Amino acid sequence: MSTPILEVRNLRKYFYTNRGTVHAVDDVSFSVEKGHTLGIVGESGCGKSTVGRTILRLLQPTGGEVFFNGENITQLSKARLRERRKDMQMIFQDPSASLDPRMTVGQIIGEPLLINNLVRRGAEYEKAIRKLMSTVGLAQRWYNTYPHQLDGGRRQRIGIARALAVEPKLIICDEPVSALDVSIQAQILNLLMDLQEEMGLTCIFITHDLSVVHHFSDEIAVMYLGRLVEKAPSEELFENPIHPYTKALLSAIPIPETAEKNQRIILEGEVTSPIDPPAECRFKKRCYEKTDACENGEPELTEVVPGHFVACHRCQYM
Amino acid sequence: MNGSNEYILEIKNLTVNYDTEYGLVRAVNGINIVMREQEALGLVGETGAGKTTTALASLRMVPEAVGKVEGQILVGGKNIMEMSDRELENMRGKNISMIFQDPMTALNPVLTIGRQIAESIQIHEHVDKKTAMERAKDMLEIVGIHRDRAQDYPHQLSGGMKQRVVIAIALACHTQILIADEPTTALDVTIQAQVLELIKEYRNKYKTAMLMITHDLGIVAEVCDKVAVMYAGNIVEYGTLDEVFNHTLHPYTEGLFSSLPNIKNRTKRLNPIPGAMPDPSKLPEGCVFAPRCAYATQACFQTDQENRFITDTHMVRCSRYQESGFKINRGNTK
Amino acid sequence: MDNKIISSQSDDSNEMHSQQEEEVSSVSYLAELWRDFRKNKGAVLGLIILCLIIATAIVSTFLIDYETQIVEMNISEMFQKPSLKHWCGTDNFGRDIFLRLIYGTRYSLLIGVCSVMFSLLIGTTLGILAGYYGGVLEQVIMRISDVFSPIPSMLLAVCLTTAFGQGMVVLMAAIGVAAAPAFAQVARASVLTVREQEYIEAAKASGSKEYRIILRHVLPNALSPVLVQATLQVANAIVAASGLSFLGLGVPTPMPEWGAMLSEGRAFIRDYSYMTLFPGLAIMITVLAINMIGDGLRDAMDPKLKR
Repeated sequence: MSTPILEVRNLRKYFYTNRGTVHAVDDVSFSVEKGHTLGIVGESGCGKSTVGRTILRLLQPTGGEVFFNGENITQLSKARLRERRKDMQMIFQDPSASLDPRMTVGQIIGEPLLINNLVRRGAEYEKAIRKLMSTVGLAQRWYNTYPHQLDGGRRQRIGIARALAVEPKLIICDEPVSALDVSIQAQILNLLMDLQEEMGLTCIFITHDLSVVHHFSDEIAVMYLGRLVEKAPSEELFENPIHPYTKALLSAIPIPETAEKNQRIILEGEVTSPIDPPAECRFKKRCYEKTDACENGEPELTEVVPGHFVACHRCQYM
Repeated sequence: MNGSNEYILEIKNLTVNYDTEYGLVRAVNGINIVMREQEALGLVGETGAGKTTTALASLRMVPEAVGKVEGQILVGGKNIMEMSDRELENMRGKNISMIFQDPMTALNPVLTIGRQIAESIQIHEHVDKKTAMERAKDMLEIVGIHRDRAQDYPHQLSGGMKQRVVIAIALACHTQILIADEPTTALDVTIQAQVLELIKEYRNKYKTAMLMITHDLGIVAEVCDKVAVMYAGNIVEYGTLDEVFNHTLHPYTEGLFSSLPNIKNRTKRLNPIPGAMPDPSKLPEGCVFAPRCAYATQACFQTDQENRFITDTHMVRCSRYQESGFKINRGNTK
Repeated sequence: MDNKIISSQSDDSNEMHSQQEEEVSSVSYLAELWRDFRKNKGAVLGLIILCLIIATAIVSTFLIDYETQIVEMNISEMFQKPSLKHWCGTDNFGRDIFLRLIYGTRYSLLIGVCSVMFSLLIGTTLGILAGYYGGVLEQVIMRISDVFSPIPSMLLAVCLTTAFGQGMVVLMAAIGVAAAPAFAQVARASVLTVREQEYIEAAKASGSKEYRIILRHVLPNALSPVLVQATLQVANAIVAASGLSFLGLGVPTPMPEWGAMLSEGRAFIRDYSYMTLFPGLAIMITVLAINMIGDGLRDAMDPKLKR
């Protein structure tokens, strides 16, 4: 078994506010093999975006460690970290906010090349940018235009080109298609899948949309209030969801078909606050399958079926 | 066809153009919609198709300085384009109400949620303040918020709860027609499920007709009886749920279905519709969808499209149906 | 590799049936700004007036001889009312007021622009650093700025003049320092907004060093409100300079600075009111024009007013 390219151990990220400590990411551990895609799914406030940013050290972890290619990047100095940035990139959710409105398309894509001294200015520089543009399917005529002149789908392609410029090994996609129209989503998703295959990239795909993550991921991890509640290979998760939250999530998605549907699981109430959560199962208040076993503090992520991990007291006795 | 008093909402040949410095923006181009009592019509389309403009026009809320509205909109048989301001105010909130898309901005931050619901009741049901507040609290319970929270301000609520308050305001007067503009887009999927259930229960109880505007075909399948598919300001397909979903006619509708990720049908690759919706200020000649259409012929780029009724209830706007035997792939390659 | 991806997902082949490739012109921020600015008739008028004023100042350098026309006294022509010969009349020394006004344009403009440069440099730099880095640095800078902020330029001018003597440079410094805190605040507030934008995060993720992020990303995007502030401050500076000259603290006589001319005319206001009227008008028109430009700029830059 080769070393996974990314290993996250007991990652924690807390935010300290006057109302208390927000446990945005609480003791999350997982690993990703080279060339694979891990999907991280959850609703708003579950901490999935925070996980992505903390792995890249755009936010400083409060605890835990991240290993990239065997190297502990949580401890790296600022300068060493900047060097490592070439290997790990991010594609952001909002294609309008993640592109500097004062720079042209060419400048935006070319900037990582300049920053990392990968190409010298001049003909070589422009050539490299234009090549990236065609890789992501962006017409050459947009080279000198500004992001606001383009639609969401094209803007997202710029973001992807920028991320690819430094030839990273790992790409974290933070809700890359959520802000896009339905028919454009499919275009971008296909593009991401093609690129991953062609370039042998490892991806972490963060989204709230379970239907989208399936197409792209080998393995899916479900998060709730800062913790991982279930992790399994994609097909297994959809065929055989075990955690009550995952089941509710899957049943909540409206299906575009007129056939008779399964009984929907409707969760009662709202998501509880991640501020100073008590040491118990965080899903307890909304869970429809509670038993006495659920009073035993926070459930650990355990392998219930080979490859399939669940953090649930009740499910441990399967 | 029967007389128009059978329809509680009738939109005839609605055209909305915005005069801007970039040119004439043709947001809505001659659409027709009819709704009977208790019917739920899903208006489907992507951003820029003209759905929200249609909804605003139905309440005559298109800003008059920039938007030119033509056509007739009949609510309960009366043309709202000819109503006085007084009559309009009466109509809005009493005959038609609207759930707006963004709950963050639809609520007034300086009024309590109870007040905001009660206000609507007070105006339209002509009751006193106390009674209105009591009814407002009842509405809160109906949408799943404890009545004691009537004194809370919007910022004290989560996104899902805010949207439920917006819905409570819209439902408070038990109007005949409810227009919902992407009411669940900003919500988490489990909260969306709650809200859709709520809407379904409410409609069952009060027999409200509903115009559900959304881009999500899954939601349409959940709550609607009829579907209208909009593209670049035109309705390209119109029919019952079964007709549009299972006997799809228009290539755009087909494209929408095949580009959607569907967790029940987990194919490896998606089939997006190539290209993008045209700029509403630069609509192409002939069929607006032709540049992206897999079935387009030369003629499609030249001829103006017409509404064709394939069955009594199923309309499509595609000139290729002139040819006998023309069929698209969806539903026909089994 | 490239070929496969181009054909399946390319932007161009996305058009099922390719259409004419439209010419795509690059619409930069400046181009859009100018277009929006032009829509405001008042702002354009202000711009025209200001251009005229500047042109006047430049031309006057060549056409007017300082010694003979501005300074030399001509007792025989004293106190003449406005006429065809002397468009604005003559003052108590027989000097042509109109020519003096024209010549005096340069002082107002110079003081206005230079003092603002000063404020910009000091105030904006400090404000940007405070906004970007936050923490202790921010606190220190903002508190220093708070100390200077209530001090009116008049007071500062008095102090500086007493210490360094009268003169234009002292005047510019005084007005500049007095205005710097406002610039610091505006810059800091602007930076706070920009700092949170995702493209800043993206730049960090690309490995960009901090100074580069500040210069390349934060600065250009944070400048808009500062620019508006600067424009309006030029007008304020002109008024302040005039006020200080009026008090005798500014430009020394016999230089024909507008405020100084106002001051000189004070003694004769009852019989020869034109001596104060015209300099006053000059100040008013200039300041008004600049304010209209500033308002136009602010409206053009305001993203919320855009459709």
